[in-house]
Amino acid sequence: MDLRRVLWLIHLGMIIFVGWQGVMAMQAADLVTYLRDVSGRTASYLLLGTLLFAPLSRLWPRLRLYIKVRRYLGLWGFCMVLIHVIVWVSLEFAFDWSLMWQEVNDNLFIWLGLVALILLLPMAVTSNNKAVRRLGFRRWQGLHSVAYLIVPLSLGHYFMAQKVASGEPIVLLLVLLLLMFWRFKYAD
Amino acid sequence: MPIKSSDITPEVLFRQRRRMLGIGLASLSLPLAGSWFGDTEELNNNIDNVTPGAIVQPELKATELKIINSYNNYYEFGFSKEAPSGAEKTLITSPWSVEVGGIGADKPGIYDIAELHGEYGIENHIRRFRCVEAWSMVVPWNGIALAKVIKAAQPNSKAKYVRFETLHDEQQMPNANWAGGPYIEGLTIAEAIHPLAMLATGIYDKPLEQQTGAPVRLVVPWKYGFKYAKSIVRIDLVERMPRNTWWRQNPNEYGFYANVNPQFDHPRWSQATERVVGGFGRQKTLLFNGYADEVAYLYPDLGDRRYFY
Repeated sequence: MDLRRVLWLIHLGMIIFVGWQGVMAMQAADLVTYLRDVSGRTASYLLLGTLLFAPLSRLWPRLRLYIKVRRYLGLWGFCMVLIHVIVWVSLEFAFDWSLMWQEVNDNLFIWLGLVALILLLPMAVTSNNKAVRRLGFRRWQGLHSVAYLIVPLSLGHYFMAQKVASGEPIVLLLVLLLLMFWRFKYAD
Repeated sequence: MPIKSSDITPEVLFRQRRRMLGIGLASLSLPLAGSWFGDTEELNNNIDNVTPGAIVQPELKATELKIINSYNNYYEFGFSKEAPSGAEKTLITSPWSVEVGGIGADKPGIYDIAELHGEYGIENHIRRFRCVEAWSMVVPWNGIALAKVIKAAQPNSKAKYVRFETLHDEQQMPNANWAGGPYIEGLTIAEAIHPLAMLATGIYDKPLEQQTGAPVRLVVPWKYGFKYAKSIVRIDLVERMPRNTWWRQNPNEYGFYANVNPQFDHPRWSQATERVVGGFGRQKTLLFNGYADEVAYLYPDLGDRRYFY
C-alpha cells in the first residue's frame, strides 16, 4: 500500500479513536480517571509500537519503506502523553502545584513518568525532516535512541500505578523485553 | 439495568429525610459494656468514651447514586471498575442468609436479611469512603449496627476477632477464584462493636446492588475500602487474627488493620491526598478518614505502621 494512504489511515483512525473515547468518557462514572487512564494506556501502546519497527523490518525488509509510520506513531504517542499530563494537572489536581509536587515526591511511579515525559520532549520536537537535516543523521539518531529508555520508564510507570500486578502492563513489559533482546542480540 | 434519573433521590429531598431521621442518628446508642469478651490484647476495649453525637456528619455531600453504583471494585466480577456493574445478571441475592458463629460465639445463628432488619432496625449514616487506591466518595448507607449482631451471638472470652466471609461461587461470579478462595476480611472485636461499624444493606434508601456488595456488606469508614467485605455469607467470632485476602495476596503492601492515614504511604503510591470520584481536583486525606475522634483510642500507638496498612 502507498505510504501516504497508510499514514492517512493512521491519522483518521486516531482521530476517530480520540472522539470515541471522548464520548465514552462522558458516560464513565469518573470522567477524570477515565481520561487519565485511557490516554496513558494508549500512549504506552503507541510508544511500544515504535520499537517494533527495527526488529520487524529485519524480518520483513519491505517494512523499511514505511519507516515514516514510526514517526507518526511516536507523535501520536506524545499527543496521548500530553493529554494524560494535561488531565492530571488540570482536572485531577486543579493546578494545585504544591499538592502536585508533594504527590510527585511521594510516588516513585510518577517520577518515572515525569522523567519519561522530559526525555520525550526533545524527541517530539525533532520528529521532522528539518531536524534530521539540521542535526545530521548520526546525532539525530543518537538523540532518538532515548526511546529505548523512555519506553521502559513509561511501562514501569504504568505497571507500578496498578493495585495488583495486572495483566496488561505485564504483557507490554514482556513484549518490550523480547524486543530488547531481539534488538541487541541481532544488532547490525 | 440503567438507573433512570427519576430513581435517584434528589439530594435536597434526601437531606430533608436525613434530617427527619436525625434523631435516629443521634441516638446511636451502644448497649454494650466493653467487658463481655475479656481483653483483646493491647487494644483498648473501653468504648464508653465514644460520643455518638460527634459521628453525625450533615456537612458531607453525598456522591450521586449513579456514580456509587458504576465505579466499583469487586474482583470476583472482574478487575475493572466497570465490570462489577454486570454482577446483577449472575449474582442471586435473594434468598440470602448470613451464618454467625465461630469458637467465640455462645449463641450461633443463621439470619436472613429481612430478619436482621426487623430485629435491629435500620440505621442511616452518611460516611466518607476512602479506597486504598486514593479515591473517595461519600456514601449514605442504610444498615444495622454490627455490634447488635455480634452481641446477639453472645461472645465469650475466646471472641478476640471477627472474621467475615464473602460468597464464593464460580457459577455466580465469573472471576470467583482470583484470590484462590473466598474473600476474607477481619476486625478486632473492639473494632467490630464500635458504633461506626455497620452491616450495610442499602444506599440512598434502596437495597444494595450486586456491585456494591448486595445483599449485605461491612462498612468501617475509618479503614480503607478493601476492608468492607461484600456479599457476606459468614461472620465468625474467632480467637486468632484472621488473614484477610489482601494481606494474604500481598503482605508487603496490605495488612490487617488498614486504617486510613495520610502519613503512611502505600509502598508504591502516596496516601496523602485523594480523588473525589465524580468531581475535579483532589483533597487531603484525613487521619482515620476523618473519624479520628471516634476511633483513635482503639489503637495505643499511632506511630505504629502496623495499624495503617
